[in-house]
Order: sequence, then structure tokens, then C-alpha cells
Amino acid sequence: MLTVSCPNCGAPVTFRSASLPNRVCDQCRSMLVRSDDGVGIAGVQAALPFDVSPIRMGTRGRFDGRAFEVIGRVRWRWTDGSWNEWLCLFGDGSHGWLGEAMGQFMMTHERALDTIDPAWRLKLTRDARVGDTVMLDGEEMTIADSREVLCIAAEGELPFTAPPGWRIHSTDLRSGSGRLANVQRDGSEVHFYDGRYVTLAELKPTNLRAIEGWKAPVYG
Amino acid sequence: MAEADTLSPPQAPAATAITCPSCGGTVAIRAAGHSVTVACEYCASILDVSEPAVKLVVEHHRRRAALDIPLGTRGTLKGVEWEVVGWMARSEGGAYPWEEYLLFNPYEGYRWLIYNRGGWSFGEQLTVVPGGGWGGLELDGAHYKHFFAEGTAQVDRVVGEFYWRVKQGDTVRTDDWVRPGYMLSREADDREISWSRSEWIDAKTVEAAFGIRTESGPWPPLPHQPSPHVAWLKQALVIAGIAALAIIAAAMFAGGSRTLAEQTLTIARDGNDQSATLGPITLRRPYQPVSVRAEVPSLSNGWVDLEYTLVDRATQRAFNTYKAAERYSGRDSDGDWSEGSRRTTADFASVPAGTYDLVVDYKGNNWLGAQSIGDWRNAAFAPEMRITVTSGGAPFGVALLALILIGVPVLFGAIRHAAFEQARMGESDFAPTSSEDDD
Amino acid sequence: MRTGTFLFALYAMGITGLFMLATAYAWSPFADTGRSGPRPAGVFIGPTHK
Repeated sequence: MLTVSCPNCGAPVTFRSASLPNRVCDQCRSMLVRSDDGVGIAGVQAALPFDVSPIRMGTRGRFDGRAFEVIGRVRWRWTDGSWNEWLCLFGDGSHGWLGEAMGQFMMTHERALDTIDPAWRLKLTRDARVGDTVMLDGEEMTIADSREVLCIAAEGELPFTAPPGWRIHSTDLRSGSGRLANVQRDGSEVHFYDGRYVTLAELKPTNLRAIEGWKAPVYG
Repeated sequence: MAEADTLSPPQAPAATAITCPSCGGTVAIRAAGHSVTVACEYCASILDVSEPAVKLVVEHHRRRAALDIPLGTRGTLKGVEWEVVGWMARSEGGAYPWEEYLLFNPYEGYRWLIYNRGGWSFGEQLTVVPGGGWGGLELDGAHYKHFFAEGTAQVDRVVGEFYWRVKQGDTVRTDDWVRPGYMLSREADDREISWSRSEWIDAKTVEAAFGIRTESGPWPPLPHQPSPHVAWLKQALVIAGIAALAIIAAAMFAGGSRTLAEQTLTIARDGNDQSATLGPITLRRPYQPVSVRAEVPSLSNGWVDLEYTLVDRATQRAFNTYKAAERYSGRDSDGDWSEGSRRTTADFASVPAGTYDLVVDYKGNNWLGAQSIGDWRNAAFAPEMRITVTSGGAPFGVALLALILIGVPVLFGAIRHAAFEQARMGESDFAPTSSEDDD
Repeated sequence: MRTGTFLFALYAMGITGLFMLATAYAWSPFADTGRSGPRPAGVFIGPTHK
């Protein structure tokens, strides 16, 4: 844990994990980067457009018995809409992404690319075509989507800077069992995420965002 | 103040608004962040709201749509409050129209409220793909039968906001599978396949939730509409089973017959009236059935007339009845025939306890041309009649009557259930009978 | 459905009760003569000749 003053506005900013070197200042929206030399400014983050997501910074929940807290968020856009990726910091210091799209939630964790069969690895990173199937750990996954996505804005702590206007290539995979995977490619850099659909009730979240006129559910 | 803020953060607003670039109307956005397309509720123009600057996709100048459940209406279904944010009129190429309301709750996501021919369903997008089963699909351990195959569904009209790019004329290929109360739907276009499950809901529930009134329910029933008779039928079968067991047990308990008197009488060949008295017959139970059986082994093409009088020695009260044993046989173009019986039984009901005599007045006769067993014209032949008096015995006739009376309403319910199921299945592409006229 | 089930239960109980009563009094609608059956005096019921 490292708390410093924002080099731009002086407001206190906290870095909770060494593996999350980026942070957007809550006050002035400066993109801060932590390094051995201290904390520097990498640019200015855009304002997040209004949405009615029930998740917010500080929302806590449990996934597969492990407690997490939401500490960051990236909002992405594709040709047919936008979605949120909420960064969840787990108790053991690892992190996962709680995706929120079309009113549905999905939890994914980054996984090393070399843990998947090399034959399928190439398919996923080079010529992913919608409708093609890929075997992941013996489970058949279908490529549901493969296209360029655009970063709109971000907040909180992040493993990357996520500048507004950042374009990456994203490939989505689905299985019949509710499992999903995602490959993100930015030039030669490739990240692989594996996870499944979840429901809010299953995560039993607390500290949800209060939305005017709506009763927030209480999960026992 | 600052402390209060951290304890209870300010509530985020639930909706924003945009201005329709076509008609200038103010259109509420109730699912901000999710909505991609808005069909203006005033002029029906299709707007792209995926980016901060609203873009006009298709311009329309229609009259304001009058929805049964207006946009923004809230209602509670299954314990969750939902707000109507969108509405689509869909059909199969213009025929078989239905309506779909898109419901939203920021904490629960989206659901569908589907209105079809006066019936309602509550639908949810699936995140899993149902597995294949015997001639159908399996989901969460339940089996669904294929009902509609290779249909097409088009969007005829839209109002409100949607989380995908929707427009009039959008067409998908559809398949549906059902089990009582639920339907699985598969919608496929060139790009993706989506699965949803909808649950049939009672019109009264929807009327109460959204404060509307709907017409009477659909007929034929919706494919996944559960038979309204099945719940009653199940309970009635249990009740009928208990009643039947009680009746059978009581009948067996009442059973156990006893022979009270037996006598062999000789029938005069001249056909004269004869009389005999059997007794004393002692009846011990407060009330009992008494049966008198007469058997004439040598009866052939003739008859024996019987009049029984059961007289209580103490009170002289009499029970009286007439019987006849007749037996005819012969041969004609169809071969041998016979009718009647060589025996006849008289049943006396509710005979009180006491000591009785049975007076048998009888008269035998036969036809000319009598043959076989015994020839009554033969002077040496003495036809005999055996009289047996018994009491008790299980009241099978009454028990059967009681069981039938109990079974009739169950049968009636079963017929109504079968008629409902037949009408429901008649709509299916996989209906068992294909010879029916299609209109 | 509740009312329907209740009514049928009532009906089944009624039939069962009537059956018990009939058994106790050895009554039967199929009997040739009952306890209170009128005596058909002077009526001759003859055989049905073919």
C-alpha cells in the first residue's frame, strides 16, 4: 500500500498493489503511473459517461468463496454499444475483471497464454473467425465475436493506463456451459482471460451503488 | 456533512433524457449505459444513442404508439420490480403477431414480458446453451419437447430503448421447445445464436403487477401453458384413491356369506302351482342381505316361475318377490344358439334380524319339442329344483356403484385435461395427428 | 383450484359415507326387494316367452 499526493492536484491517492501501477486521480482525473522513481503523470483520463450500473468503486462481494473489492473500472465501446470492466482486487492480492454488458455479469481472470494448447493459441491470436470453435481444457468454445474495441474512459486503480481512444482487438469465446474467455490483442501484446457468467445474487455484493427510485437488493 | 456523505453516498439518478432529432420530443433514457437504440415514442424514428451525440438512423413521422403498458410503467413480478423500457411488435412474416415488452431493473438486468393471443410469458436471456436430449432439449435437469421448428420472427414495430441495434424488419430464425409452464427459444441470425427461456404467467398476475386489463385467455392454449386441470386432477386422484380404499375395505369387512337353508324340490310335470316352505331361517345381524338361488339342472326350452315370500315368524312381516328361470336353445342358420339360464337368484335387501320362513310358490313348464337333458313328457322323469338361501356377502354391486360415482368427476376432469392438451399440442409443428384440417 | 379440490373431497366423503350407511343397513339398489319395498299384490310377473 502506497499513499502519495497527486502530482497534479495534491489530493491523496492510494496504490494498493504493486501489480496495479496505474491510477486515475479521483479529483483531477490525471492518469498516474507508479514506478521506482516515484509517481508520474501519464495523461488525463476522460469523464465517464452516465450509466445506471449497480457496481461502483468500493463494492465488495465474493466469488467462489474469495472476497473481493472493486477498485477500478474501464469502460469500453464496440460498434454496437458499450460495457464496463470492473477491476476486482481479491484478498490474496490477485485481481479479476467483473464484466458488465447488456445487464449480465461475467467474472474473468487473466491466464498465461502458454497454458493453452499451442495449436489453438495461434487460432485465437491470428485468425479468429466468428463461429469457429476452439478447444479449451477439453471444452468446446465458440468464437462469438472478434473485433476492434475502443477505450472510452477509466477510473480507479488499473494494471494498464487505459488512455481514452486506445484501440485493441478483442475476441470473445463462449461455451454452452456459461464459461467464457476473451483474448485482447494490442499489436504484439496479447492477454488471455478465462471465466464464466455470474449473477449479482451469486456474488452477494454489498456497498452497491444506490440508484434513485430503485430498491437495492440485499443479499443474505 | 462530509461524514454523512461517506456514510450514504448520494443516489445516482435513474434516468437521463435526450431530444429526438426528428420530432424534438424529450425521450427518457432509463437504462443509460446499456441502451444502444431508441425508437422515439412520439414519432417512431430510430435513434442511435451508443455515443454521446444522438444520431438519427431512420426517420419516421408516425403517430404516437398507444401501448397497453406505457413506457416507464413499473410492476413487480416474482418479487422484483421492473420498469418497461421498450416494446416490440413481432410476427411471423406478418402473421401470428405478438408483442414483447423489454423490462429493466438496474440491479437485475433485462427481462421480457411477452404478450401472445391474450396469454403472457416472462422471459430471460440464457447464458448457457441447453443440451440435447431424447427428441428434445435438457436444461437444469428438465426436459423440453420441440414444438415449433424453423420459424421466422420479424420486428414489425419498435418503441423505446434497446441494448442492441434493433430496427423494423429485422428477421431471425426461431425454434421453440416446451415443457408445462416453460418455453425454450432459440433465435439465430447470420451472426449469432441466442437462447432464452420464458415462463408462462397468469394474466391476473400481470394485470395486478402493471395495472392493466387484458382480454380472456388464449384458445388454443399457448404452447407452454400448463393445463389448468392438472393440479385438480392430481389432488382428485389422491382423494378418489383414499375413498376407493375405504369403500373396498368396508365392503370386504361386510363380506362373509353364510348358507342358511338348502332344499331340493320336485317340479310337477303338469305345470300346476306348487308350494314349499323352507325354515326356520335365523338372521342374527341387525340388517342383512338375503339371497335365494334356484337351480334347475334339467331345464331345457322351458321355464320355472317362482314367487318367494320371506315371512318373519314373530311379526308376520313379509318380503315378496318374483323370479323365473328360463332357458332356450336351438339351431338356426347361424348355428347353435341358447339364451337364458338354468338358475335365478333373488336378492332381498335390508332384512332385519329375526326368525323367518321362506315360502316358495313355483310352477314349471316347457315347450313341445323339448330335448336333451331331461324330457318332461317322460312320466318317469322328475325335474328337480335346488333352492339355496344365503345371507351376507360383500356388497360388490353397491361398492361398484359408489366407485363409479366417485370416478365420474375424475374422469370428467381427465377428459377436460386431455382436451386442453390436445388443443395445445394441435398448434405444434410436431403435433401427433397431421390429418387435421388446417385453417 | 382449492375450491374444486375441497368440493370433490366433500363429494367423495359423501359417497363413501352413503356407502357405509348402505352397508350397515344392507341396502342395495340392485336388490329385488328392499325393506320398505311395496308388495306388488296381485301382479303376476310372468316369464318372457320367446
